[in-house]
Amino acid sequence: MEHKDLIKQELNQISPLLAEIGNRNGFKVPKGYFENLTENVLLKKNAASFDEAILTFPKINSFTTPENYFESTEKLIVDISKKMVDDEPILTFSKLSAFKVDEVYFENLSSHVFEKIKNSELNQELIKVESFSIPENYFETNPDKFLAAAKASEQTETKVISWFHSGYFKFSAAAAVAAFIIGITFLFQSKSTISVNQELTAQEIKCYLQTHTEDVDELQLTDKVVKANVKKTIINSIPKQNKVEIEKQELKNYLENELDETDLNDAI
Amino acid sequence: MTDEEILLKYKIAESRDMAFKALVVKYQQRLYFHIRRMVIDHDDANDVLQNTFIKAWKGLENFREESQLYTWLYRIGTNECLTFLAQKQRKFSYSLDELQNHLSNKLTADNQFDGNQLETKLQKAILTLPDKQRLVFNLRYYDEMPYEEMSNVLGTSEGALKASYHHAVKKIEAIIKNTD
Repeated sequence: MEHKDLIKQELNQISPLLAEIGNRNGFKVPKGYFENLTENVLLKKNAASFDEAILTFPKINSFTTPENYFESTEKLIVDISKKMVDDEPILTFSKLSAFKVDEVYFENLSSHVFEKIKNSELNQELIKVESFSIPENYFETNPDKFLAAAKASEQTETKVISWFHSGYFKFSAAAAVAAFIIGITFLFQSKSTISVNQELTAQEIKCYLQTHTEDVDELQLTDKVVKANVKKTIINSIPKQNKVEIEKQELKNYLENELDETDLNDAI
Repeated sequence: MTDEEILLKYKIAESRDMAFKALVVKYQQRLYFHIRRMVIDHDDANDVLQNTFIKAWKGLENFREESQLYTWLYRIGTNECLTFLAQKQRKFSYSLDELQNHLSNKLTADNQFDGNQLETKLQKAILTLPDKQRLVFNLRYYDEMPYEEMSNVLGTSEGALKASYHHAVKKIEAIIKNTD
């Protein structure tokens, strides 16, 4: 409880007004909210676990089909289309009766239609193949081909061309000198830009920071300022006299340990 | 049940649910009001609180006992609050001011806030602070948390927290005085 008194004391020092208001909790919660919260959290947790389980559940198709279903599909479709074509004349008989047709037309119609469908599908397939033709067994042979090519590229020795003796050296040297000159020029020009920036007043900077609070994290900024101030304080806390004494001591040690008489005589 | 007992029981599969229930019962109110002060609306606070506990459930297994359990929970709750507010701001394309106005209006419209005139004024003044400074103020003023623990929750140095709290109190005081 001791720290609570300290907190109150601190607040009282900063703002007696806020200390007076007090920290009573004004928020209300629905009746029985906390009694049911544990159960609600557990329910939500289980629901979340269930969702995760569904997401990670192996995608196995649990629907079953009759044996040889897909093998017999073609026959089934043929039968259905035949039946549909056979039924059609009866359903539309009265409407079509005014027109004459061959006697055997309806008998052969289903086979004609089916043949036409088959041909049109074949044609479409042919068109697709013609548009993007690929050599036979192209995809089947690709992996072996690519593997062989990769291995071959590893074994081939890279030809080394001396850069110094090539014609590129002179060109590169000239380009480097040109880039250096441009760089120096740019550097001197940019100095003038800095002098313009220095004309920004403290008020302008403050105004910018105030209007761009979304970009500047005040807490992080304070953290940095506090750290910088601490560092500065530590440096300033070292007495100037001590700094000189350290230097003198170091000099004395150096003279005593590192130099012998011969060195001193040489120096003199 | 102490934090050590909760953690011990959580590690045993048979008593895991029981330990979790004990954890929720122990910390639900403190966390709820910490979250509620940030998001204002009860339904939003309820969502954020439930997510906080679900995250705690998932992370409890890897919880390093170097920090206190409650500062760890506060840290999760705080991050959830900030994420929630950022999402809300993005979802409705609110500027910072608009979000603050939205929360302030919720506070007035919310019949579940029964503070007197001065307390309402204080809450509205708190809402003018940036989210992180609001967190600092709330943790110190309402939760009466020591700076050391606040530092663990917010991942900021104690010095910065002291400065931030001081500025926050001064700002709030000025707002209250100006709206008199």
